[in-house]
Amino acid sequence: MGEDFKVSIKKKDLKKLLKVEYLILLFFISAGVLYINFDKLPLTHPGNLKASDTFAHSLAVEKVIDTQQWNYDDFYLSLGREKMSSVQPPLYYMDAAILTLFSGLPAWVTFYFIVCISQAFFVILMYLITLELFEDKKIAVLASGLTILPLPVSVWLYPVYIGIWIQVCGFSLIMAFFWLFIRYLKRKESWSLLFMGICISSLILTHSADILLLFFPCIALGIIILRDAHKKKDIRYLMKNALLLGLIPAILILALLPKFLFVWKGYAGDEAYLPKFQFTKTMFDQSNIVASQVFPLYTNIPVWQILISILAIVMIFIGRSVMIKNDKGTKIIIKKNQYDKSWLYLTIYFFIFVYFAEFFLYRPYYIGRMRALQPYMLYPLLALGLFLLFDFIKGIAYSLLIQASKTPKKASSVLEDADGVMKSSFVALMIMLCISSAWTGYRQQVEVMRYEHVSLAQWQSYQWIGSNVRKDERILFFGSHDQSEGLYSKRINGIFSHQEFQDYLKTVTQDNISTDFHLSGWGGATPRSKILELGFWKYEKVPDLDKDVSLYDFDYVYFMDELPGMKQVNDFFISYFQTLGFRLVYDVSGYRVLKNEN
Amino acid sequence: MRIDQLLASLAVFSAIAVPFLGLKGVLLAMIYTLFIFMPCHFFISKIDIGFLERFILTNIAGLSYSMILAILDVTLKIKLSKVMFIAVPLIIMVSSRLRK
Repeated sequence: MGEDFKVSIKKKDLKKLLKVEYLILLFFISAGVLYINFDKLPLTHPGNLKASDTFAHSLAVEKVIDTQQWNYDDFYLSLGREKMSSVQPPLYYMDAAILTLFSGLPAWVTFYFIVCISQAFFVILMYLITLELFEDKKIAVLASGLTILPLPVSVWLYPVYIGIWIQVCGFSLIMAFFWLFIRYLKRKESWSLLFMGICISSLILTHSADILLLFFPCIALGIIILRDAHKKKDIRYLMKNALLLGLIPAILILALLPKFLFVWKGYAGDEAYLPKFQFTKTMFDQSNIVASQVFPLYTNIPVWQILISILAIVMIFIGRSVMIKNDKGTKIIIKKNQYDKSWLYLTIYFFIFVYFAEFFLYRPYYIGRMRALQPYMLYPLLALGLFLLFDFIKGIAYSLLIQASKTPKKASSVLEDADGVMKSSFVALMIMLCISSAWTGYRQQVEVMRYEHVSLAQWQSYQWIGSNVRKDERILFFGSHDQSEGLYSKRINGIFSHQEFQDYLKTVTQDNISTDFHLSGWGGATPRSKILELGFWKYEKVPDLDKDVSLYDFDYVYFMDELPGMKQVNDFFISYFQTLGFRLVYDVSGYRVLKNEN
Repeated sequence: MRIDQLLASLAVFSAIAVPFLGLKGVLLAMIYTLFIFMPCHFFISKIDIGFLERFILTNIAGLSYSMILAILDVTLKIKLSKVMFIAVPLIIMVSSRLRK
């Protein structure tokens, strides 16, 4: 009796231990750790942040902390102009600002943490979506497992590397909306509508351009609510559901209407215009590959994944599954199997949207980047397709085994008993295969991307600028900058980068050194607003500062001996500028700053 | 009140941050859980759904809701906003349980 009790307790504990939810959380943790490991979370300096956009995102968090608001650009970003209405939607910057303020950790750490967990949310969302659709935990676990380190590396590398951080956060909101959408269609739970409303409003506050993708699903949702209310002949039902879905987004859109009409309209808002039918070649350009494409293509998805997904799509459409029956010889049976078609329709809509909407829209830049979501749209279908294939192959193997067995009945019952274990083993094997295939690419990318955009010595020079240079003083970054890292000096900075420097050198002779330059730009062009707020409902577009400048327009000149040959060139210019009234005020580890004493 | 799930969530966030930040990772996970996750956790725990569903919804709602804290604390500089932000959902939940 006692033994039995012990055994039953142990079984119960084991079941509790092996709960699928814990496994998915483990997948979530693994994905989060892998994504963070790519850039790491350096506390000393933002060294390993990739691409210039990431600097802009981290600085947007610091702007909230430094200026205690998000509505206007910081002084150095707006090039000294006040009330330049910020183009960056505030939500995730504010969240990261809270984490930074309360923990004392740098903004690039807290924001990257949020970005990585947002990307890792896909692991859980894939499980929930697939479970909702096919009501099979094993298929759902497979879909989730495939998402930990998707194949190929560019699938996850693209959003994390290229610096579309707030769009990554937006992607997780889109996926959450899609999950709630199919859940509502199936179960009609009114709380789903409230959370869909939260997803919509959060998306507006995170990456407002992405809201275009949800436009048609929202219309479909509205029609469904109307139809249900009409069936029930209940106006209260209509009012309640309409309020649950629309109240928060409506309040938000009303509050942000000036931003939509005057600020965002000039940026991502251009997308919403429908003035043309044209083919934008760059949207389908495969030559522009760094670590991945600027606009991912269907070619990013492995062929085998596409083929198996197509198999699943066909089976869902015809509502059939193929079975092998083993009684009295092998029989192939085509069985009726009504799959949920809602995800299929969403996937078709998604692919049409990200590949065809750009023919009609004025500036389809962000829609092209939305294609980063395409593998995730396919994973639930891929998991189903893999399982259908497995079932078919397993059926053939079983029938061969039964035929070969001397006791077919016993063999059949043994195989039936082992069916669950076989399926679980298949799921585990597929996940391990996919992760191990992706692992090599992952390791290589981590090695390749180990370089730093901002070294510790460079970071220390920015810290020196922060404490020694007045906020309204301008710095010329002379000769060696192309990733906007100078923005971290938090002073108005003119960039005189590689190309301009080369052109300038050609014109320089020993006795004729011009002090006039053509800048490659003013630091922070991408996140900088061009819209000046004059008052309530009054905005004006203002031009950028002139790029033709004189050396004397700057209070400081910053030199960086980035390449071996650069030191001699910099030495030459530093000694020449010193004859023009500039004084060397900082010289540490190849980073030198001259002060204009004129 | 699903304190167990709250602690599980804290453990999950810590597991992601600690390999890179050490003890500071625990601090980051705690701040995230306290100010972003927890204020919505108690309300969402009232919905009859599974742990994973609740985990995702709480994160999404929390990341949106905490913007209010940023406005109160960072922009308006209301000193007690941090305490209030954590205390209000706790008080509401405790009082609703006591009423039962």
